[in-house]
This record gives sequence, C-alpha cells and structure tokens, in this order.
Amino acid sequence: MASKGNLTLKSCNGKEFIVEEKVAVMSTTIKNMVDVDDSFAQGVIPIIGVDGKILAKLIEYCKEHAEADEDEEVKSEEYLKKFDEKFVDELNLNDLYDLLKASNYLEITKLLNLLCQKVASMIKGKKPEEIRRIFNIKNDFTPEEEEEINRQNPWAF
Amino acid sequence: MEEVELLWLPIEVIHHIFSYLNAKEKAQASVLSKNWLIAWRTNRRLEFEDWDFYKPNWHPQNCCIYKIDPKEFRNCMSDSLQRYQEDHIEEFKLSINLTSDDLDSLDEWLRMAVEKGVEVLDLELCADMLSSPYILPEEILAAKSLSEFKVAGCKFPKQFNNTIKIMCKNIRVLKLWNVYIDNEIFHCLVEGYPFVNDLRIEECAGLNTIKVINLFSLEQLLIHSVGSKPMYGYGYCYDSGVVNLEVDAPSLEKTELGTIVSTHRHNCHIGDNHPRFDAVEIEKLKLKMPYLLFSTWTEDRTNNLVDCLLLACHPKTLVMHRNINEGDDNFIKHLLKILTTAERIRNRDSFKSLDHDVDRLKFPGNCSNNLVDGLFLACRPKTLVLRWRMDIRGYFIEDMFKILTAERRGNNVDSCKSPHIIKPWKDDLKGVDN
Repeated sequence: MASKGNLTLKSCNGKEFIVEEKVAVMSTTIKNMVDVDDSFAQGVIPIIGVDGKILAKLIEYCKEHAEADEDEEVKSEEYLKKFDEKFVDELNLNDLYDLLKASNYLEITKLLNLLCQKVASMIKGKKPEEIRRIFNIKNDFTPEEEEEINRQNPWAF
Repeated sequence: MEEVELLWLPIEVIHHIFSYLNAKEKAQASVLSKNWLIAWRTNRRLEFEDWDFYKPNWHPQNCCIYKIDPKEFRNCMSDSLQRYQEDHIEEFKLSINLTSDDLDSLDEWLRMAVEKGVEVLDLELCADMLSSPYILPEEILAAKSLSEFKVAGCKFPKQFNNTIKIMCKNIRVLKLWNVYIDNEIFHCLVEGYPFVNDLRIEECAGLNTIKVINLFSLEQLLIHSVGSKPMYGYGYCYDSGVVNLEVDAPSLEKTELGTIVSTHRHNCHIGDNHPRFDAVEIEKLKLKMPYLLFSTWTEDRTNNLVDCLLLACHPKTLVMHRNINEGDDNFIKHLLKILTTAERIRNRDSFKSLDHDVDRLKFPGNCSNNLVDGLFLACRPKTLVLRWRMDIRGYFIEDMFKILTAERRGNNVDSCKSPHIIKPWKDDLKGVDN
C-alpha cells in the first residue's frame, strides 16, 4: 500500500514499483486514471503490456524530468539534455521499440518525442535496405508490389 | 520470425516519427514494409516540396544546374492526394515554384485541404515565373478549422464576397511573409482571428495602416519591412512605410518592430499621425531601424516614435540595433532627455516603471559614452550585453572597462559630467566579465 502522495504501479509480469505521484502523472494516461477514479490513487495501478524492465526505465526517465520541472536549479536544462542523450544511447533495439510503444500507450509525450527523434535520426540519409537491417524490419512486399511503389515515387530514390 | 513480430510499431508511433522527417525521407521510409507504407498513406500531415524533384544536371565545366520537370511533381502530388483516403488533414504544407498551369490545381488542392478540416496550412509559394501573383481563394481565409496559417509569396484578395464572413476562433499563429495585402483585408483578418497569439508580418506590401487591436491573446508580434507601394519583381520593394501603427494587445510578451518606418533615400515617412501604442506589458522591445537616416532623428516626429515606444511599453529588455556614432548628438541627447530629466515625461506614471524594469541592456559596438551613462542612470540594468565588431572595438570598450573596473570611483570619468551620479550604478554592479 502506497503512502499518501505515492502511487503503486504494477508491470504485466507482476513487479510493483512505488513512485511519487508527480513522477507517475508525467504519463497522461495515468494522470487521467487517477483524476477520474480516486481508487487508483489508493490501490495498485496495473500497467498492461509493459514488463518490469521497461517500466523501471520509464520511471527512471520520468523521475529525472519530474524533478527537473520542480527545481530547475538542481537539474538544469543542460543536465537534462545530457541525461536524455545518455538515456537513448544506452538502449538496445528491443528496449527502444518497447519504450516507444509504452510511452505511446502511457502518453509520456516528452519521452515519445525523444525516442521518435532518435529513430528519425537513425533513418535519415540511409538506404531502405540499411534501415531494415538496423531496425530489423522485414520486407513483406512481393517483388511486384515493391516495383509498383518505387514506380509511384521515382523522385524519392 | 518471432523477432520480426516483436519489432513492430503501431501506426501512430510511425506517424510521430514522420514528424521528424522531411517529405523525401518519409517517402523513402514508406518502402520499408507494409506497415510503414500504410503509415505513410494515412499520415495526416501532408507535405510537398518541389525542391525534392530537382535533378542535378552536370555541365562539362563541372558546374551543376538543377532542373525540374514540373509535370512530374504535379502528377505525384495529385496522385498522393487522390490516394489519400482519410477524412481529415491535420497539416498541409506546400512549397512550390508556380507556373501558370498550376493555378487551377492549386485552388483545388487548397479547397480539398479546407474541406478536410486542415489545421495547419503552410504555403510557401514562389511566383517568379508568373506574370501576376497568385491570389488566394477567399474561402481559405475563412476556414474555421485552421489553427496555424502561414503564407508566403502570394496576394490576398482585394475584397471579400459578401457571403463570406471571417471568424476563425482557432487560429493561434498567423504569419504573412512576402505577400501583398491591403489595409482593409488585413483589418478583416485581425477582426476575424481574435485569438491569435503569434502574429508576424514580414516583407509585406500594400499595407500602410496596421492596427493590431483587440487581440487579447497576442503574445508575440513581429512587424518587419512592411510598406504600402508594391513593386513587383523579386519580392516587393517598399516606397513608403507604415503610416499608422496602432498596437493594443494587453498580453503581448515579445515584440520586434523592424523597418516599419521604412525610408526612401532622404525622406522619412512616419506619417502625420503619431503611432499610438497601448500595449502595456511588453517584456521585450527591439528598435531595429537600420535604414532610418540620422538627420531625421532630430526634432521631428521620429522622436515621438521613440518616446511612445518607451513610454507605452515599459520594456524589460532594450535592444538597440542602430549603430550610433559619436557625432550623432541629437539623438543621444534626446534619449537622455527622455530617460533622465525631461520634465514632460517625469510627470507621467509610465516613466517610473521604466526606471526599474530594465534588467538587461544590449548595445551595438560603437555608441556614445554619454548615451551609455544616461541609460545606466535611468535603467540600472542587471545584465549588460555589449556587442561590437572587431574593427571598431577600440576606444569604447577600453573606456567601458576603465569605468567599470577603475578603483578611482567617479574621479576622472570624463564621459559623465557629474561623477556622483555614476556611483549608484557602479555600486550595484556585481562583477565584470572580460
């Protein structure tokens, strides 16, 4: 049971995290749940589809940013920028995908922006085969379909 | 196989990633997989740039000319729009060098965007190849769904069809750049877009009376190079500047007024009516009038402009973009008069707040010591920013440092005649960075 001002988040594989409310409500989805139904604030909030490892990562990110929002002196913009850089650089591909999906589902806009920017920067200036290899994307077009798409957008290649 | 399934992204996440890519990069990403193709085709932010269609054409002497086949771009654009099955367009961005063949289809594209409830409309049109500018369809200006409207390189209609009433309460951002718009239509826009908070008018012609009134949400205002007489060609030239300028916007935070007072050679056109400023909470005021000739700063109407600006706006930041030469005494004396002793201003309440509110002063390199002293006395800034070109660094900076660092307070400071007045601002100074 979380004390006042704290919320308990439960991952899909049963791990529980007690976090401060200001950290948890960085997620608009959680904020809406807590706002609408008071019982969530008392009990355990299940975070569907997000496992313990990813949830820990999310909390790590939200904690830094919630604290920075509160006190700019201690955690300056520069500090946050460095934190963000390190945060995305250390992710492996699976974590990146999982975090993208989780931050989208939980509506953690800042993190979603950060991750999407990261993906965009990895896509820029590369050939499709290269991008597929980096992101492990399977080319599910038939050769005919692929030719058709290329024919529609000759300018882009 | 399992790994492929694992690395799947929801369409809306791909849309989000797309917002960080340009039109070409998005089209390239669409071939990655079916999922990405669907994301590309359902993306509600449509962006077309004809620059992507220019192809390099190498000449023998290693020079390269970029050429475009206009048809290729137009066909591709029409195809994409036809394929677009969504009932809503969030953003429509078009950057195109117009030919006379495009005008009808452009009308059609814009109407389609409006029909589908476009929220952000960003048009960057280039009319160099046309004999007369493209005129925006009226209904675009009255599109209720718009929240951002940015337009460059065209002409606004002269008058509206009576059946069209402009009242767009969603518009927050209005940017006009290199457009022809006359006073009446501009006034209709200001009336019809009451909740604009960011208004920019740059290099626009046809406009000599700017009334920015009743915009209670306005936070940012930029007026730069605006004039009344258009001369068609590369952009517009301005023969006479803004005659009447009226700003009444209570929540304004940031204003940048550029060459609103445009001059043609030796004539300064401020107009007969003094500009009237009713903005009371501007935090930042920039005076950027590089073309204003100095002789016109003397005892004529231009002084009133400066007076009005300073009195009405209580700027917290004062940025002077004009290089003031040592010989330009009249202007400096005048500013000093305003900022320190002038009786007629002393009596007004508005001056009091100017006294204390300035916490940052910025100067061009070469300006007179007297001016600096005067401003210091009046404003006691908390931060002082000095910018100078390397070649004129000389005496001014040296003098400044002498004044700021000298132990002999007040003695021998030849730039100010009453040393005891200098003391207060020097004593308030916390440090000097070299």
